[in-house]
Amino acid sequence: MKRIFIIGFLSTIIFASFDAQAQVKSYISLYGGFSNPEGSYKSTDYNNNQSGFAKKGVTIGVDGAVYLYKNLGIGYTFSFQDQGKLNYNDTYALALGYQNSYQADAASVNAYDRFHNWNLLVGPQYSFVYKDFILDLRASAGVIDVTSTPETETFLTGITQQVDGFFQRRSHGYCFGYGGSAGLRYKLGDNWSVGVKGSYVTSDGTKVNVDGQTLQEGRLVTRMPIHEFQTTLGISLNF
Amino acid sequence: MNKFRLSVILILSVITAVAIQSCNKDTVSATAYTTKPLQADIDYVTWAPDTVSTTVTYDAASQTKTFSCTGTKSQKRVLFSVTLNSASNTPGFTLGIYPIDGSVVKAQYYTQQLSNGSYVFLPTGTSDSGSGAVEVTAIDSVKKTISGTFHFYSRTTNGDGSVTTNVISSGEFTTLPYVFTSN
Repeated sequence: MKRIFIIGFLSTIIFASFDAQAQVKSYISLYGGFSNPEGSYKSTDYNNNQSGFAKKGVTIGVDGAVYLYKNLGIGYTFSFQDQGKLNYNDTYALALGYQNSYQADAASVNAYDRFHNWNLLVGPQYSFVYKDFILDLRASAGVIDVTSTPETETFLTGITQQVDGFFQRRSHGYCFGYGGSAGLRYKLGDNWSVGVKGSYVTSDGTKVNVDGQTLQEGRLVTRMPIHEFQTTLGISLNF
Repeated sequence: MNKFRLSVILILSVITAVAIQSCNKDTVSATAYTTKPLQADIDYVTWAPDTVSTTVTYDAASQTKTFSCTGTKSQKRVLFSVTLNSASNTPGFTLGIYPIDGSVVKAQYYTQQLSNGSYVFLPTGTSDSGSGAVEVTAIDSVKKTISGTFHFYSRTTNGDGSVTTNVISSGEFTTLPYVFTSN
C-alpha cells in the first residue's frame, strides 16, 4: 500500500501541470505480469497464524476504463493470479513447528494445491494527459474469487491424543477486496496504446477449515488474508 | 481488424489463464524429527522417550563396569546395557561396537500390559545373540555424557506358533547425561 501511495503522490505532482482538460478515450487492455505476495500473505513464519506461504507468481487479465466526464471515469479489472504453492522448505518449517508445538517424536506435513484467485475490481479513475502519455490513477474495490489455497495434511507420532492426521483444508469462496493502481500508457495512435501498471490488492481473504484435530496445539489457521502487489505490461484498445 | 485482433488476444488470454490454473499441484512432503538425546524407531515409527535413566556402574567385587540405558514413553520401554570385564574404577567407558550376546551385552523391548489387575512393563519377546548391537562413539567422563547408537530386534513366539518381530532401529543417544556410581 505504501508503494502505491508513493507512486500516486509523485505522479500527481509530476502531472499536476499536465493537460487535464482533454477528453480521454475509453479503453480496454489486455495485460500480464508478476503478482507478488506481500506481508503475511508471503510470510513463512509458522508462529504467525496468518502466514500464507504464497509465492511470486503470474497475473493475466483485462483492464479498462470508461470515461464519464473528461478525464474522470470508471475503471475496472478482471484478472487471474497464481501465487504458487508450498515448497519443501515451507512444509519442513510447518513440520518442525508442529513437532515443537506438540513435542511430538516426529511430524510429517504433506502440502497439495496452489494459490489461485480471480479479481473483479471496479472504481473511480482519473487520468492525466501529457502529449502521448496518459497517467491513470485508480482506487478500486470488488470481489475476489479464491478458487484454491494449498491444503496441508499433518501426521504426528508419539502423541496419544492426536493419533490420526489432521487437515488444513483447501479454502475457496468469494471475499471483498480493495486496492489502488497507477498506470502509465503511451499512445501508439488513435486506437492503440501500451502501458505499464502497478497495482495493490488486499483482502481479509477466505475462511480456512481445520478438521481432524483432536488436540489443538501451535499453529491454527482460520482465515487466509490476501495482499498482492502486481507489476504488469499491457496493450490497450482505445474507443 | 482491431476487433479481430482483440478477439484473438482475448482467446489467448483465456487459454493462458486456464493453463496457469492447471499447473503443477503435486504434493510436497517434509518430516521433522525430535532432537531429544535418546530416540529410536520402534517398528519404523519414531519414538523418543520422555523418561530416561542412564548409568555407568563400577562393581569392585567383580571388577566390571556396566553402561545401562532405559527409556520409557507411550507404554513402551527400551533397555540396553553393556558390561566390561576387568574394568577400572573410573567414570569413563571404552568406545567401541558391542554386539548383543544376551550375556554381557543385552537389549530388551518392553510394553505395558495388564497383569494381575495392574499395568506393568513386561518383556516383549527376546533379543538373542546376534540380534543387534550397541555402539559407544563418544564419552565425556568429566561432564558425564555419552553418545552412540543401538539397534536390535525382539522376537515373540505366539500361541499359534507364528513369530512376531519388533524392530528397534536407528537408535541413537546423543550427549546423554549419565550417573556414575562405584560400589
